[in-house]
Amino acid sequence: MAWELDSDRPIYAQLVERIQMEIVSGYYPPGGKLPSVRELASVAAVNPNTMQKALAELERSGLVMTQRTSGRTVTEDADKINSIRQKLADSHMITFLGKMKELGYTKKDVIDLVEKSYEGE
Amino acid sequence: MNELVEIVGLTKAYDAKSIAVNNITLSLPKGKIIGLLGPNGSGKTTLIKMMNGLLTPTSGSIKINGRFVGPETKARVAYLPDRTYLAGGQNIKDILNYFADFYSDFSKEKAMEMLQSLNIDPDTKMKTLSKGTKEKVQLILVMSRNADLYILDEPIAGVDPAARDYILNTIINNYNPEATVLISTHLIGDVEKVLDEVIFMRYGQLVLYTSVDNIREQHGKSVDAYFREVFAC
Amino acid sequence: MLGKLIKHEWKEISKVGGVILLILVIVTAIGGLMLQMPGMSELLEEGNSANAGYMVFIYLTAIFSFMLYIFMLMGAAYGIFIYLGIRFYKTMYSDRGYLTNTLPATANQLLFSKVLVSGLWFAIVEVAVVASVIAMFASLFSGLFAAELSREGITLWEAAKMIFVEVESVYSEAGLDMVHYLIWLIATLILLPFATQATLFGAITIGQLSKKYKAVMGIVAYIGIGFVQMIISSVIQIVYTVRMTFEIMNNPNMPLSNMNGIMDMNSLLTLIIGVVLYLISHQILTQKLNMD
Repeated sequence: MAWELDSDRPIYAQLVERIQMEIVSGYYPPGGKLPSVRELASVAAVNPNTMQKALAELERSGLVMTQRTSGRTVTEDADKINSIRQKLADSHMITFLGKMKELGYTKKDVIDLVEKSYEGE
Repeated sequence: MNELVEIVGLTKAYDAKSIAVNNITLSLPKGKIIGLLGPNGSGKTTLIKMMNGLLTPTSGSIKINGRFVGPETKARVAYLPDRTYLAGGQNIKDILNYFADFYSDFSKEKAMEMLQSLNIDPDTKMKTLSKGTKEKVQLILVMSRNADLYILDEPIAGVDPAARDYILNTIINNYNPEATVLISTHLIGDVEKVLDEVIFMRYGQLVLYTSVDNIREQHGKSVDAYFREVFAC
Repeated sequence: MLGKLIKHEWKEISKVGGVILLILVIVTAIGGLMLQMPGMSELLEEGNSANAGYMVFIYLTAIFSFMLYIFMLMGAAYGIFIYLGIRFYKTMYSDRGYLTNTLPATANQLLFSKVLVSGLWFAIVEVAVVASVIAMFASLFSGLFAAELSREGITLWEAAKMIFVEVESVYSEAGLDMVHYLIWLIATLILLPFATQATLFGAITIGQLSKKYKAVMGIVAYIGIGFVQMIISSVIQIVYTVRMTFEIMNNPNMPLSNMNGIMDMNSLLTLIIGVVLYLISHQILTQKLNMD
């Protein structure tokens, strides 16, 4: 199943986001091996060059490393992964809070809502 | 000679009024998947025919891998035209043998694999196949070649969505950094995630040649949306 | 590459050519046997009839069969010619042409392989037609004269020689040297088919130059070339006749015409036209190809 990607924005950026999520969520564990560019491109149904660009970006940010013989692996640096996790969480939070403010919720309303939602789970 | 395809001053004029391709100069690199986009009558098909030696230019030149269009370039170009170009009376196995005979880069094994995964029986005759299946067979023939340049003219137009996915996936899986794929199509939305670069043509002229990311970053829209904007009637 | 083109061309054409040959063989066999039917020889001699009703039946059957036979012969010869023309058109200039013209082969290789194999098959069918006619005559004469010959103690071979001498004397009175004629006949049957195929293909290719109705224009071009050939041929004949007339005035013992010369000239003309059309085809394919 191809990944859900938005043609309005550069694809490679979206690929970076998705792979980051997969690393942070543990789908690709620390030190774990990533599939080859070709396989990832095939699964995502995107141009291999684009996938390559995304992976290069992830390498630059240190989240992913290239071994000479065994392809790409996720970093073992837990701090690195956590900082990305933090960044993503912050980003979602900002969006969430912005939307809630638009809806007219106060800070107390938002906290109540969050507690209720967790209880309901 | 870094560029795979070098087109210089290419013109095809049928008479003073009807100029199908008008002075196009363009170079295509290796290792890219490029979309050739434009409204009907923009000259896309004429350009493609000239690259394949099916049409002689009025002026200008086309070089593929440093050679002018001729038997040597034809050996290195895999062309998928927008029509059925196989004899009806032959069965698929015969056609595979024919291709293997004439193209040294053709892989019968690869073709058989693809036929199998699409549940197409190699012993069937072409004329008994449905239109969609015929197109798949023709695509398989092209993708089983190890060419420098693949030219696909409307590869997904007459085909159901599932087959489209299969075709795009085959193009992705076949990717080779030494080769380039040129896809001419109307169905931009379906294809743009697979493209590296796009060429826009209109009235036989080159309007734009850029990477898809440039379009998305600079204009904040998909290639499909930007195309509609550029070519709005 | 050329070898492969020839191989595939041969494979495909021989499917149709083989059928035509098979039909020829079957029809000739049936016809030959029919001529051996009781009553056939009596029919061909004058008078003699045992049973009038039977003779009428034989007579009608003979006429009908003869016409059928001629149609079949013409059908075979024209049929293969038309088939080869249509095949050339289809494989070079219709949708299939997209495959043919993107093969890694030169225009010369494409043309040569097609002219070679088409010419060969046309020659084969022609020879088969002639062989069929000879077989029929053999059957006819052996049936007709068998009785008489055995009565007079002449073998079939001696009878054939006698016929040959008779025919030769008739021919030489008309200014035709038999040996020359036979050589011409063999050369024509075997060599000219390549020229006629090249001419047909050339006409079809010329038709491709027009913007519309390319197939029809191909036929028009073929008729046009035939027309031109006819005119040139007539001019040659006039020149010959005029020359003859002068020579006869000086030497009244000469034969009345030089059929050999004229026939040679016509064959040479066909050959030349074939070569010219081949070159034109090549030129068009390399400089003016316009696939739709």
